[in-house]
Amino acid sequence: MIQTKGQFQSAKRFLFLVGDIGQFTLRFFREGFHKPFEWKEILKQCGEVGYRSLSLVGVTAFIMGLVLTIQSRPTLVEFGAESWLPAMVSVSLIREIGPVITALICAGKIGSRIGAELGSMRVTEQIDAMEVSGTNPFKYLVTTRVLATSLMLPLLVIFADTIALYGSFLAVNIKGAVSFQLFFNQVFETLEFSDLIPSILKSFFFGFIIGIIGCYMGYNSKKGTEGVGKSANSAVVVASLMVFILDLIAVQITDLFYEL
Amino acid sequence: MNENRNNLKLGIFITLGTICFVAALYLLGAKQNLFGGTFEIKAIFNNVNGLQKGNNVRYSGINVGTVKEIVILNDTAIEVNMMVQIDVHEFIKVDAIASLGNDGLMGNKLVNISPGGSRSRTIEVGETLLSINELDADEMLRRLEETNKNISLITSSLVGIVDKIDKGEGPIGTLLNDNNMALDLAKTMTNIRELSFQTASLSQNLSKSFNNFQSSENTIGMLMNDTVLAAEIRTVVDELKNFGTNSEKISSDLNTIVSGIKKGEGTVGTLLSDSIANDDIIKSIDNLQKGSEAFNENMQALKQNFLFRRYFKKLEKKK
Repeated sequence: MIQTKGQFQSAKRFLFLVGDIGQFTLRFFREGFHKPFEWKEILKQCGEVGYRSLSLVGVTAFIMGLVLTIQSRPTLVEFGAESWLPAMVSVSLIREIGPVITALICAGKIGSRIGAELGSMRVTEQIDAMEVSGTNPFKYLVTTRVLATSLMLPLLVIFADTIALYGSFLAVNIKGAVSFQLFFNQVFETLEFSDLIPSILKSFFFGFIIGIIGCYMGYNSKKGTEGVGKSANSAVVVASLMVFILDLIAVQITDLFYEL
Repeated sequence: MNENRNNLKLGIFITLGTICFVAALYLLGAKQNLFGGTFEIKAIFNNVNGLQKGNNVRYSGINVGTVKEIVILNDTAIEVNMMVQIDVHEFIKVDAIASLGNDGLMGNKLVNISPGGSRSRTIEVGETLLSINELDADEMLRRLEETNKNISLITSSLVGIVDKIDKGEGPIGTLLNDNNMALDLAKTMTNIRELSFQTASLSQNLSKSFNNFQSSENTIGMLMNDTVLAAEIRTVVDELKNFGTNSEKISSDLNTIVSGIKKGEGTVGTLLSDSIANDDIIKSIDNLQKGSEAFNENMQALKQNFLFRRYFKKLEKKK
């Protein structure tokens, strides 16, 4: 009985959380596209999210391409289909692995940063102070960060895909000898618009959800410094989960339009 | 200053990202001939075997375009519209043949265009290519299934036949199981072997004889080898030919004479055909016979006449 009551409370809390995040998102749309725009803050956040995450995303993507190619090679060699390696790796990277891994890295790096930053601002009452001083903290803190993550994640995914393909090319050349031109010819021979466009579109939504979850968790942080850590942690966990859920929805929608 | 530097870095980041994205779009678009000149041609198939929009079109193995649209015209005709690069337009003749193929063993479907005759005219934009409908994998499997059934039937029949043979039924079974027949067969084989030896020796003898004919100076050898004799024989043959020709003339003349005689022309003809003359001749012969008999009587009388008796006795003595 007690256990059932506890489960009911958990479900209730979850539904409250979902409703709160929904309202938070609606507020973003209400306030995000009305003047005045915080251009400087948007650019600053773009730099923080995009440029400063590039090295981490780049290294991860390079290793990802390299490892995926090396791991896939023996199976393809067994079937005598080694020449399909560029095609197979490129489709895997562009369609799925590139956007999802980049989004997860960003959920970890950017989501936690935003959650911790806004959380500490909340617990140190800086957000309250902004409200008192007449600045709209939501517009200044949340809108700018969500826009920055939404705009920068697709770019990071493009970089990640490019670097991962280069890593794959190097991996192919460890065992065999394939020219740069032949490798990329085979890659683009296989790829279609239906591979690239949905991948970029879904990475835009991944960025959006990472920004929204990070900001929500930080903006609604409670219980002092403990709450800051909790916000950062929740931001990463929920954003990562949401990335997978969005990916599932994106695959269904892509299949609907492009018949994968 | 620091803010400017950050903005510069962000600008570089965004520019490079955008360039990568645009390059990817360009390369994908170029593959689908979005940026180059293209023209449309068509082909009609009974079955497109899973061909889709965007699949490659190849001309002699080179990717030259993509499938633009697939339209069902009726229950037996499916029209495939293809966008082909304008550069290859001049090479695609009106009698070029479109067929469906696979990119590798498990690859995508594609349309192969085989070149037409070099003297044929170039195909017009929107014109329909000739097409070949090839067997699809399902059809092949269906046929293989039928073949398997037939093989199964044949195998079961063979099992029955072998069983009968094993039991000694039928001529082959008897042949294999009957000892007497086996002995007879062995004898027959021995006879055949002897016959073959004899045939071999006969052929050797024939070969020797033939060699003798070729080398020796006997009649056949001379006939075969002597060129002078051959010339003489040829002359003889020519003469025989002349003789034949002459004989032909003679026989035709004789024929004319005989036909004349038959018609009663000339003396002989009159003799043969005139019954009155015939009677006269018979009478004359009769008269001659009678006359000779009378003459004989006269001669006998003359021999016994004393005037001539001495003369006849002298003649007998001389004999």
